[in-house]
Amino acid sequence: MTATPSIAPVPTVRDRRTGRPPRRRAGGGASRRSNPVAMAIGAVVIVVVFLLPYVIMLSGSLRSQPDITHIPPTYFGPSVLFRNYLTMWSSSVDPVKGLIATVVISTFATLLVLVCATPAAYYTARFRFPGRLAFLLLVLVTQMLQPTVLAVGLFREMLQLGINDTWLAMILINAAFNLAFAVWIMQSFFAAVPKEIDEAATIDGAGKLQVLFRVSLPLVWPGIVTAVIFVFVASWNEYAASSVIMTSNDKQPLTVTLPRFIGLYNAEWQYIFGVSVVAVLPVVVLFAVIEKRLIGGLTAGAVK
Amino acid sequence: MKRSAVLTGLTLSAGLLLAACGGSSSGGSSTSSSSSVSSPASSAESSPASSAGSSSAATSGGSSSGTSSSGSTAGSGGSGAPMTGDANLSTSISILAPSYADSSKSDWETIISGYNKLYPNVKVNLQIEAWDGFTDKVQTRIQGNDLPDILNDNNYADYVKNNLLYPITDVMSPATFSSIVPSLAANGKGTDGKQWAAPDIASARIMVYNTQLFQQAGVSTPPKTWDELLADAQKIQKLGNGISGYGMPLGKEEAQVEASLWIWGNKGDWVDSSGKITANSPANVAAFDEMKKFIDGAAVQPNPGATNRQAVADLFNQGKLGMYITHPGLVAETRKKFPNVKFELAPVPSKDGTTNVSLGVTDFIVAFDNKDDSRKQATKAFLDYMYSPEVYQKWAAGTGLLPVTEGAIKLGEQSTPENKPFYDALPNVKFLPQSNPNWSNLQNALQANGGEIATKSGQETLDDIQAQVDAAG
Amino acid sequence: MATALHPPEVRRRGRGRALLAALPWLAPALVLIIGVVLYPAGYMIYTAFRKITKIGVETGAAGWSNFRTALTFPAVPIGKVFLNTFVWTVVVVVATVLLSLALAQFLDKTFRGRKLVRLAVVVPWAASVVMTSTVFYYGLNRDYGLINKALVDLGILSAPYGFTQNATSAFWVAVFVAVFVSLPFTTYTVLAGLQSVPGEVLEAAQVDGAGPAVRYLRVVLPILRPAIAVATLINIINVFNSLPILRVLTGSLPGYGADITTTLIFKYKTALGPGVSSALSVVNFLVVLVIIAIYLAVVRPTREV
Repeated sequence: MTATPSIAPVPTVRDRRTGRPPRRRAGGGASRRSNPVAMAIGAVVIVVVFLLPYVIMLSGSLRSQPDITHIPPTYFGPSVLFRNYLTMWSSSVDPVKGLIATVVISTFATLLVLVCATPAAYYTARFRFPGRLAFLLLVLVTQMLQPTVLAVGLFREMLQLGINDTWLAMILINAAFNLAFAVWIMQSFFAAVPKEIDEAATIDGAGKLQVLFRVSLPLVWPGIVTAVIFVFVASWNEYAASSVIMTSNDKQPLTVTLPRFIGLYNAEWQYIFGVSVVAVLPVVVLFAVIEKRLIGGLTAGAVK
Repeated sequence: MKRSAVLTGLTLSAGLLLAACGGSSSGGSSTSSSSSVSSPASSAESSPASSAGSSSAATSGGSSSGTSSSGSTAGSGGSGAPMTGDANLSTSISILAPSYADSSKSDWETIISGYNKLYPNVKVNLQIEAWDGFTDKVQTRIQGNDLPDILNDNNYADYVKNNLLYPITDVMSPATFSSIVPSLAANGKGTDGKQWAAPDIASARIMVYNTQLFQQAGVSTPPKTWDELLADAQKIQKLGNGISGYGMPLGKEEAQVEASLWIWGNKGDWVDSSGKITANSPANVAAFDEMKKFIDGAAVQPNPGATNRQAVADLFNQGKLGMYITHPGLVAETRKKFPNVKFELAPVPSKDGTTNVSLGVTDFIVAFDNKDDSRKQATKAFLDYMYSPEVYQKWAAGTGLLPVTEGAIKLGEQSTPENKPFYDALPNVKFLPQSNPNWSNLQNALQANGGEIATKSGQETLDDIQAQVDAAG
Repeated sequence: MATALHPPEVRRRGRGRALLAALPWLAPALVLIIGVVLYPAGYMIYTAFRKITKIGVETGAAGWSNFRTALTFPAVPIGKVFLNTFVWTVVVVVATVLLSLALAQFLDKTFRGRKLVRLAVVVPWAASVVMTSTVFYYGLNRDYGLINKALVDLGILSAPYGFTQNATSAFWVAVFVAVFVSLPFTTYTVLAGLQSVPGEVLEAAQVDGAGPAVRYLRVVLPILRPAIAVATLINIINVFNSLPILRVLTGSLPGYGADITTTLIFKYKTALGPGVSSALSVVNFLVVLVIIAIYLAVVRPTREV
């Protein structure tokens, strides 16, 4: 199953960006024209299956609370309550603050992961040194720990560091626990870039860091983007640690804020659904923006 | 390397900056006041009990509450008893409380801002959390040695067992404490006879029934005995169309309450005379077998073991359930949001129809001993302020449940006449054994396994529960 | 693209110097891990051997008693819980990887509206797992769930069914949801891997007379190997440790029929306190460590480096 050295991905790299060479892909069908009708049906099925739960969520967010639990249920409620999207923000639960906290924590955690993971991934992919495997395994072990129980230890740790109940604590925690994936995925992508490219640059007198930034990094965009999305999304949805570390309601991220809509004897599901719909959007937008990087592949100019 | 170092630095400092903007939990606002007045915080002379008792109208409505313009003194409404503040008291205390309704946070914040007018230099850190997972939040803070000064919870015996609390009477003036109805206050008395906790809200369980469904099924009066209950529930369930007779919520949320109602209805109990938990006593087993009879006899909603009280209430609100045991908060929701459902309230049925099984629950305020005198002082001042008539009345109303002070109950009876049956039941309710040091073990075991009665026998179910209580002991 | 690529100068250097040269590159990651993760991990192990009351007060050493309690607590069928954990992990990961391979292949083709389809696939990733599980929980409600209604209206069910009201069906609903939320990440990792499949090689294979199936197995899959290997690795760990899905979908059920070790840890934490739950966490950690060790030994995802 190992990739053979003879398969060098470089040559096609250039064609990617500029017009798509018709013969480019095959798993996709370089040879066979796919049946457009079958493709269309497949596309529709995928969209329906993947969006269905969120359509239910959206529909719930536009209903009144009694209507959500109506028996028997109706596909369309008696009225569409767009005003839920206005009223939900003024609740004492205050989801706006939660949303801001989530954005800040996720953004900085992602940046921090990039800063820490990129050099490590590059070096482990490029150079063999004693402890290399140990390092990769150590990184992996962090991913295996069970957050529910670790949360208490983190709470005590942050308390001792004096940064308990701060966003900084959550940025550090999210970054640390998502580092593993970033290092592993990025190192697998770095490893796929032919060594010759680096070596050529080195001969031209570039330092290792220059090689990394000028040559290798642009070539592994899909890997970086995958890592960015993974870390961002994981931080965006993190609950176990923040529910314990963040004790001030005003600083809690959305995942911790939202359950407060569920009271002792009523649950404001329409608001929970509404805020959740809003919370999905930034991630989808982020994705739409960088998707080209992920799929469009490697930039032509990079391999110069 | 240089570049990455710079980036790391940038990220970290930016994060720090943001975190700083968010505010650190430590420290608090310790701006010292130059005033030399040092009246002890405990000298809040207002006597909530007497003032509330004297004139109920005075404390109702929008009359000036305990939060006057500024300064260290604020007149407290119509009661005429002044609350004295103390600008010299400079410390910070933290409060951890569950979310009763989505207004809970602002309800607490109202108390805090009023309190801060009297005690401008006490920083109050408030943490409101959903009931779901609340125990874990408390556990983490205890394990992290970061005890809240004031905790609102439905359990206190465990904290007593671990020696973490001040007796509540140490952090409440006698006047404040005596404003609480004695029979309710007794529920916060530990098995050692000390008053560890003060109730802050109460609730009674009563049966609610859908009069239209009763009529359709030809049932004229609400059932009193289990036999009547079974027969009536079956009649109603026969109406079809997805209608169930009796709502039996044995899911995680409130299995302990539903189970208690049944064993009490059979004159059983969870605790024997020596205070030992005896879940699998013969009377309890018989009661569980009776529940099973209902489940097998097509008299209750499907899958009772997996049904929470909220789900049963949903069925009732949609006109798909004949009757269930409810509390004031749920009834208020039905009244407010489901006007089409016509209902009446009735006593909880029992085996012989004469046993009183009104069940009462109170939640509590407890104060953790943080070995810090000024925090203790600030806590005491806070609780005295919180239980002052107008402040307390408003807060309790926000929970949707029943208040616990004489004054607030009087007001509540007037302002919410629909809750009269609950208020009437309150003096005679039987409480869950919340003071028993093993109560929370029993509660956990009931919540985890009570619903197994749908598939196991009463003996097996209660043996499992007893075994878990013994093992957790 | 493997071993041949190592710079000779690295080999010539002494081991110590090589490690020293590597340190600056690894330092940021190491600092973050040691600074943040070490303490709570150590604390978890420490807690597992301490007597801690249910509400979190430490009262002394516990020896192995927490482990004993964790594995023998009455009414908990611990064997069944471990079996559930195994079934849960294997089924979810295998289904996820297979479906992701197909999905990535599809999304890699050029067709009208491709961008939209790709965005749709991302949504379960973007939405929080708790919310997705909650929507399924609500949609599958026997009385007012829209999914139940749709299944009845489509003639698939004759009457609404309480999917989340008994342990077996709730468990399998959770498996479905777990696959559902794992698909986007895995699909995109594979899709990113597909970008490095060179057209020339495939053409060459085609010229040699290889059919689509052979080309996929012989050419595409080997190139995807690193991406699949890492995605599978991450999936195994995440699925094994996943809590929210089962908690939402099976949390209100009585008994332990739908529990995996992670949800049992969660239940123990409330019912028995941090000591016992930490003990089970340590066991849980060792199990996943063994699984991953076996996986690494068999698959060797770092081999081509």
